[in-house]
Amino acid sequence: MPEDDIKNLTASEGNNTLGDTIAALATPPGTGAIGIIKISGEEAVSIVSRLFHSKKGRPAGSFQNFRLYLGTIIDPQTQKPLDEAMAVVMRSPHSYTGEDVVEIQLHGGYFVARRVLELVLREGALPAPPGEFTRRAFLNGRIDLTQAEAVAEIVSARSEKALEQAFRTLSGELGNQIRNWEKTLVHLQATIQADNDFPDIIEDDLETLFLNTLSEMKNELEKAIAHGEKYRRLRDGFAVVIAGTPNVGKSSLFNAIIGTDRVIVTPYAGTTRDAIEETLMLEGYPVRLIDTAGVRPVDEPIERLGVATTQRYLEEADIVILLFDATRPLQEDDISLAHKLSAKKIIPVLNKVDLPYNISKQDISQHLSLDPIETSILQKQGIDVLLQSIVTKLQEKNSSDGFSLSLNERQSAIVYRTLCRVKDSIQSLEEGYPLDCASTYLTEALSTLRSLSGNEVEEAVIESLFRNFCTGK
Amino acid sequence: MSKSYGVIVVGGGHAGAEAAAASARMGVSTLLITTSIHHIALMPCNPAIGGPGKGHVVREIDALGGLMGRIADLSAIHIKKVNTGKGPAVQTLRVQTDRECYSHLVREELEAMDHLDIYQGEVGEILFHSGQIDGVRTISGSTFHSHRIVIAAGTFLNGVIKVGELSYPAGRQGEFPSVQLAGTLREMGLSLLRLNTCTPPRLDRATIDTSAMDLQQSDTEPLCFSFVHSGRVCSGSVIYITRTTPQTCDIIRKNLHRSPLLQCLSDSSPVRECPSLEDKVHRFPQRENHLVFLEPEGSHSREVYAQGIFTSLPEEVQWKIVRSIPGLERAHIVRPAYGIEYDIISPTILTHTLECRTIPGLYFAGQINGTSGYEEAAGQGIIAGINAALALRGEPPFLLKREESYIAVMIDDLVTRGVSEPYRLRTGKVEHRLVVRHGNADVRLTAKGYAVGTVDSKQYQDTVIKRETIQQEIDRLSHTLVSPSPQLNLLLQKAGGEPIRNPEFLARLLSRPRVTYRDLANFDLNRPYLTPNIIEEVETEITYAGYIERQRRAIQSMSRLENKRFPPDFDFSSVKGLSSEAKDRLSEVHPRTLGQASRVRGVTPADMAVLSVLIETHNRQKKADP
Repeated sequence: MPEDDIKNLTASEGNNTLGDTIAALATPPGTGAIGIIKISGEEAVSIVSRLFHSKKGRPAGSFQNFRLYLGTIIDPQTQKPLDEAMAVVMRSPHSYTGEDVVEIQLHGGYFVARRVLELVLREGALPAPPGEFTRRAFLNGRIDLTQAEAVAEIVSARSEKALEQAFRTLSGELGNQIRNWEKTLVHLQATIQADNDFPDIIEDDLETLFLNTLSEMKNELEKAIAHGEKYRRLRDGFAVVIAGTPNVGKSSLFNAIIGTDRVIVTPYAGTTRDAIEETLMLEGYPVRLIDTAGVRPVDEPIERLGVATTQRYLEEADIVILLFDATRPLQEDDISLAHKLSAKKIIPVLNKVDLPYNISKQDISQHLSLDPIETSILQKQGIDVLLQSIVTKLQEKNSSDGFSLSLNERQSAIVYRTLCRVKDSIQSLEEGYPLDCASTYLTEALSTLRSLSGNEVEEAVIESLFRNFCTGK
Repeated sequence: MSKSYGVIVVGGGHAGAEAAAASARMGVSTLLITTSIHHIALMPCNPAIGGPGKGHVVREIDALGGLMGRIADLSAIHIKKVNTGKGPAVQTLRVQTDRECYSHLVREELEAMDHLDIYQGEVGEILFHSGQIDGVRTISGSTFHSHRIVIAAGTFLNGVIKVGELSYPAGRQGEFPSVQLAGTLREMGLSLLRLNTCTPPRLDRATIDTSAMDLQQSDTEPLCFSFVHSGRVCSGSVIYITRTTPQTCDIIRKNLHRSPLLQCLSDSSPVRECPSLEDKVHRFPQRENHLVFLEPEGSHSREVYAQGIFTSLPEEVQWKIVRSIPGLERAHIVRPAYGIEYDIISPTILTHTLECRTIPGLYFAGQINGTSGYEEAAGQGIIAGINAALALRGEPPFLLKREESYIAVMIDDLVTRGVSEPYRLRTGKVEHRLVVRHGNADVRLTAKGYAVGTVDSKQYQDTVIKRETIQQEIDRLSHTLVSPSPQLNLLLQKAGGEPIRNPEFLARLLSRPRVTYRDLANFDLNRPYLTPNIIEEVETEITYAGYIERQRRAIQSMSRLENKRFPPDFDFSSVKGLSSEAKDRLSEVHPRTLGQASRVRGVTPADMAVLSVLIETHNRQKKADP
């Protein structure tokens, strides 16, 4: 039996208990430069300790109550740093909800906060339904009885929303997929129950059947999670990064683009230490337009972090607008930057063409095999051409990725948790435990999935048992 | 003349017998009224007790000082461990009993009990005095007074036997139904539902050709249900196995329209858990054959129970069915099969003590609550009997939790989810079955039985010692190191695991799923002598420790909900924010706790959020303003 899985148990025990650890963004989109994630529940501290690495190397478990700690958020799977952050631990009962609460403050704005929230969910928290923090605060005696009615109101408003949400989830391809997983698990449960409770009726090799079915399901779940990641990227916006050596006109281009009529600027803003970000809709595509700091090696520690962040933006960018200064000869930095990036991502732009040339379009195509668009941002020349070429690239990208199956945060958290239980079940069988033990994980997986579909599992299992197996007294 | 009792039990089947015995053992003057004293604890269907889920209940009844486990052992003619190798949760025993012997032994024990009278008669009326239950009157006019009555009328309420086109009132084959009592209950405002079930034909052993049949022998290791017995080996009786043929299915298909109980033809609700053979043939047309187990009815009879041929088809068709089966070509039917339709009360009207919510003092147990099976009936009987006696003494009720007993799961299912077909206990219905095993029923329940007075001090002391012995052995294995040796590593590798290089604790080795306690005997020379039951428990607790711990954690997290109680007069229909389905169901079931509410059909997580806030509001208001 996997050693570490007891810790996830309370969370998977169904969504109607207080036991789940929940998480949510505490700052609404567009309200400032800092994003706050709030996590509440028994697992809050241990989840954060897996993501948050304090500057002084202290584990989150040893943080003092109500004290801010500076550190970095690192994705435990890729070991990549996501952002610098502050964390504060408020232990039960001295917190808003009365449970252990951790708040993470991020500098990276809305999108970075969303990414970190995703990690928190992956590590075992569930997205908090509306009003859940308040409900817990009330149940744990942190909210006065005089406000009971208000709390009840918030919570009952949830019923309707939950129904709506379940309905939306279950229509379309995703709904089919979830129903199929559910059906598979229900069938396996029914099979094991038939074999346990009517010992003479099944003669097949059930272990092989289980292992085959479960590994197939595992692949599907993994695929769905991967799809979900791509999808969230689309939803969060394609990252279009403006890059180039200092003073090439990056910020002017940034402002020029958001100033045109063709784009609609959305209210999700965020300013990073060294990159300015704006989200906008371009011909129906959500775009995160990012202005990076100059890409140049520097020594000052703060700026070094900025440069590292820029490198990461460039790596993760869907499109890089690479700016060249027509008034200056090609620099070493220009060349190395262009070589570092995949040509497919780059839209080369030769700026300041209204001023006396030092390099030409031909120079760039000769040296770098790139065919740049000529602009003069100051004179507002060439910007339309640039936007058009962004749209073309986005169209190519979108059609090649094909997001047929897409999961939101909550769905993704639940599918991920289902995957973990399916893996546990496979491992349990491989270690030689009987089916009945291995199937305890499937029961959990099923009740986890149930929180997406809202179906009653117990009845479904009984139904399937007696439909598929000819049982008797 | 009219006598008074502390508790009156109406019905002498398995529920009634356990209820009366429990109440009498607790020192309460008890009267058992049965329509036929010869039929106390009769087995009108299978001559068998136990099997998955049911065997667990037998052990629980025994752990609470009940009859069934001990009498099953004494009347056993064939004992088998079932589900060996399928994990500790689902393993249990099944015995074939001598039907007459069982019934006789129960009667003997009841007759010998202090505080217990038996009376033959049929109860027609329930008496009230100033709004309180006051006793019963038989249809022949005798009255008996009591403020606590347990109704365990089985299938007798408005029972109608159906065989093909033939249909006549009967409580069981050859017995009168209780028509008047059904009317009385209805007049008291209880709504009755109708269920049906059927029993197979009995054949004459001498006319069966077993030469080509598979057979199941009794196990050769000594076994027993009861914790106060030591195991024994049965021999001599054999179960033979044959199968129906395509010809059987043809006969049934041609006569489907003559089956009064076939779901698609009758109005009664679907019977999935205990289907008749015609239902099976109808629902699984692609299946060429169905198993038939030929079970001996007892050492003193030539009757053989044809398990599998459950039918309500006409007798002439039954002959054709039986004779289409290999080995039964010349079989003689001694007793034909029959179906029976009967009234039950809707169990959602009951509380977990099996007392009627609307009529205090009136308890219901057994098939009348919609269950199927002797074990289910007996399990309810003992709980109803204990609670009736406790209530009489003004003591708190005897309530078991889902995570500590199969009986509790059954009762919670009945009162929370209701029934639409005969309810049958299965291991699949018990969510924490790894901690609720048949092997630890005594450790789970005997102390509780002792506390209320159904268990004597010897049984209790033995259980205390057993529990300590198990713990000592687990501790010993956890602290005893064994050094690597070629023999040990060979054993470990044979079990599909890694060899060891450094000394390792025995418990760590035993925690590998394919390594058994017995395997390690040669490497554990200071081992104490332990009984097989104790070894089984030690092994299970160590090998499945991770899974057991996981279920314990889940139980802990659930118990938070079980501890949140609704006020007794809580009005679910006026709660804002609940779905209308949830409102209806909650008003019908009237759950006691938030945990129970979560198991009511149609209650969603969103409904639960609403209810949790309400309970908290209520509790705090009560605290602020008592």
